[in-house]
Amino acid sequence: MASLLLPSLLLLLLAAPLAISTNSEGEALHALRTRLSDPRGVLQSWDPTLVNPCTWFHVTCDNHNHVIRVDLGNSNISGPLGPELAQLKHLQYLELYKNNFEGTIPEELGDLKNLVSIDLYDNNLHGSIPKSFGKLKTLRFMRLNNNKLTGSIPRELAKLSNLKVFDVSNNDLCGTIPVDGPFPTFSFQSFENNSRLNGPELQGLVAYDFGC
Amino acid sequence: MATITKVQLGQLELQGKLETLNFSALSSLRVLNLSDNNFHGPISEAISALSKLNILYFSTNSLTGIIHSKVGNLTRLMTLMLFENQISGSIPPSSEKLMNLNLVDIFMNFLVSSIPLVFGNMTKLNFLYLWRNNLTGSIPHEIGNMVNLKELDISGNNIIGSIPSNIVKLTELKYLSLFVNQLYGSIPSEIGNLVNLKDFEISTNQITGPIPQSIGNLAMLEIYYLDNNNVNGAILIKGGNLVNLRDFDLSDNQITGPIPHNIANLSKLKTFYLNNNNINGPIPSEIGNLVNMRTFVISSNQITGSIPHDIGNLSKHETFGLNQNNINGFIPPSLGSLKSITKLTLAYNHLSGLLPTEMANLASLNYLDLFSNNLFGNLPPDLAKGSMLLYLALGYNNFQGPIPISVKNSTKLVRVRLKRNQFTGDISQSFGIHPHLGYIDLSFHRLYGTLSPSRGSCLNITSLKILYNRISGKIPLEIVQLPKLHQLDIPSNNLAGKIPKELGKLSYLYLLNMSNNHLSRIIPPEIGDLSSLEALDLSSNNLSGKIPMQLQNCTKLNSLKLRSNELSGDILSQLGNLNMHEVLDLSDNLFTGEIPPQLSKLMDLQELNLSHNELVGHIPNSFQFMIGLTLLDLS
Repeated sequence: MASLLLPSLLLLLLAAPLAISTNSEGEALHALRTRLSDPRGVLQSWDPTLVNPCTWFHVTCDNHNHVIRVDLGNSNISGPLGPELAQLKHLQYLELYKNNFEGTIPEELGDLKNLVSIDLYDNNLHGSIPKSFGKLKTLRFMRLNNNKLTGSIPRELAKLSNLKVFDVSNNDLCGTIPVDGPFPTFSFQSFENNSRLNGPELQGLVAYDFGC
Repeated sequence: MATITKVQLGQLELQGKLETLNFSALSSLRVLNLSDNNFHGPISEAISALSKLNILYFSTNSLTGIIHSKVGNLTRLMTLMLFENQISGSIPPSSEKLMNLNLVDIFMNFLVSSIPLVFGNMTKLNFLYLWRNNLTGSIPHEIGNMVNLKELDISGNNIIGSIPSNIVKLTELKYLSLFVNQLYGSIPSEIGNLVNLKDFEISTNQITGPIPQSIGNLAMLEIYYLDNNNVNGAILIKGGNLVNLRDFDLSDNQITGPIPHNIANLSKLKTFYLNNNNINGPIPSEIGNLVNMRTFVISSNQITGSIPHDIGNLSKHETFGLNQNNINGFIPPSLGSLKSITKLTLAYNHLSGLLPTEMANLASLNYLDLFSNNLFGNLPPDLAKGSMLLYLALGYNNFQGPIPISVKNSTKLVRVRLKRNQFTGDISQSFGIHPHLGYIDLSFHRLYGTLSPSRGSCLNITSLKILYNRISGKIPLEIVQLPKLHQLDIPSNNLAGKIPKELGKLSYLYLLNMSNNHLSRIIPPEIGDLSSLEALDLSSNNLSGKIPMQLQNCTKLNSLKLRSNELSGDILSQLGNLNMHEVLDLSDNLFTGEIPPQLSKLMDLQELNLSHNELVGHIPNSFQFMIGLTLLDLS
């Protein structure tokens, strides 16, 4: 009977998935890729049947086949970021600037203990800057400018003693600017064009999320 | 007067709203087949007029809405086929009156809520297919009352909870498909009572606990898929009853312990996936008795010991996957007897010794991965003599001597990774015509000769990596005319002559590294046409002349390394227009003039090295704003 043949045929299609044989880091990148739109084919070499992602273009690994860099700047990519990026435990450089990434910044990115540079600038990201970014102790560069980020600048970021370059300009942030940690070294251009950002925090006098 | 009992209007490209059919005029109908048309709209209450209906066949249309509760009036209904529509809502409680139902196919719809309890009363139900809906909730306890159920498929839903032990009553069940849901808990040992079970699939759930030993009783079982769960414990094959098991998938779980010796009892075993678990111990030599085996994949475990000689008995074997384990010892020559083998992956292990010459007999081989082992010596010259090779990975071993001649004849090659061995020979003799070749890495060898691919022989190359060899001669036009080239990575060779201006046509090129060669003359201005270029390294050559102004057109450039050449003139101030994030190294050249202050626009630059030139003047004040710098050398 037709109904007996049809399900087993269709089940064969369901039960025979794309043979993903890559490691967990490759799986994480592949999961990200499946949600993205990539009109220039920049991610075409991201083949999940390979044993690891180290020969994928725009992915760089260390000598132990761990992903240390993802370089996708200026590539006309759109779609949401996802928590699986946090599985790239050795990641040092996350370069996703000048694209059309949308949705929020996953707070799981705060787990990337080796991160040196996070460049998400010039995208369509909304929501707030995750407080978990205060855990990124090795971070030197954080550029989130030119997005649609809201909420306040988390006080936790004052713990990032290695942070040299910080840019959140051209967003919709509110509240006040922290005055602890590396913040006094950042120029005012790092914060400009946030119409609801109220200038430096007046410690002890005004609650820090004033105006948010 | 004759009455209409059957209406068969399937597959006629009919359209329209189902409700417009005058059901009350068809009250004598036994069979109504409207399947595979373009009917839309809901199944309305008018359907209840078909009180004598035995077979309702509305599948593969565009029906929407919910199943009306009046469908409960169709008490003579035996077959209900509504699959492949857009029906939503839940199966109405009134369906409990449909005691004659034998077959229910409502798969590929948008049903919600849990599997209704009503099915519990349907003792005549043989076939129940609800797969690919949006069902939630747990499998009801009452499921055990469908004592005549032969086939149950609820895969591809969001069903949670554990498998009720009441399934023990479903002794007629042949086919049980629960995959792609969120079931948890262990598989109940009662599963061993389902003596007629032929096909059991529970992949991609959150099942925990051990594989129940009672499975060993299922003498009819042919297909057993448990992959992608959290199953733990060891594999225990009790007794010799699983004589019909053909397809066994336990991959992606947390199974521990060794592969049992009595795996040989599974005499009909054809495909066996155990990859991505925590299996230890050796591969039992009894594997050689599984003469029906076609696919054996045990990659990504902690398997030890050596590859048993008896593996060579598996003459029907097509895929043998042992990647990423702790296997040591030699590759047995008997592997050369696997005459049907197409895919052989032994990468990332500790295999040592020579590659047996018998491996040349593997004429059907299209995928050979020996990457990262301790193999050495010369390769058999006729390795994979069938020239069917698509994928060849031999990197990170100690192979020596020439690249086998059969590689040159393998016109289907797609991917070649030979990095880090000690191959020698003339590179132009080692390769031939490879129209499908995309990625090739021959780095860290002693290959000599010139790059001279014959015209049009390798037009699909995306990655050409020949770092650290002894290649000499010029950079041929054929290389810079490879239309799909993304990476040209040929540093540390003996290449000489000029950089061809035709290089500018490589519109996909993002990585260009020709450092540490003997390239001379100027950097052609056409380099400015490389619109995708992200990293450029021409260090340690004999290049002269100025930095071409056109370089400012490479707007994606992140890293520019030109150190140790004989470049002269001023440092191009327009370099400041490029938003470089990484390195600008112009050291050890003959640059004159002052340091252009425009370079301070490179706010994101991490390393700036202008040392060992003939620069004059002061360090521009604006350099204090280059806060990204971790290295600044202006000595």
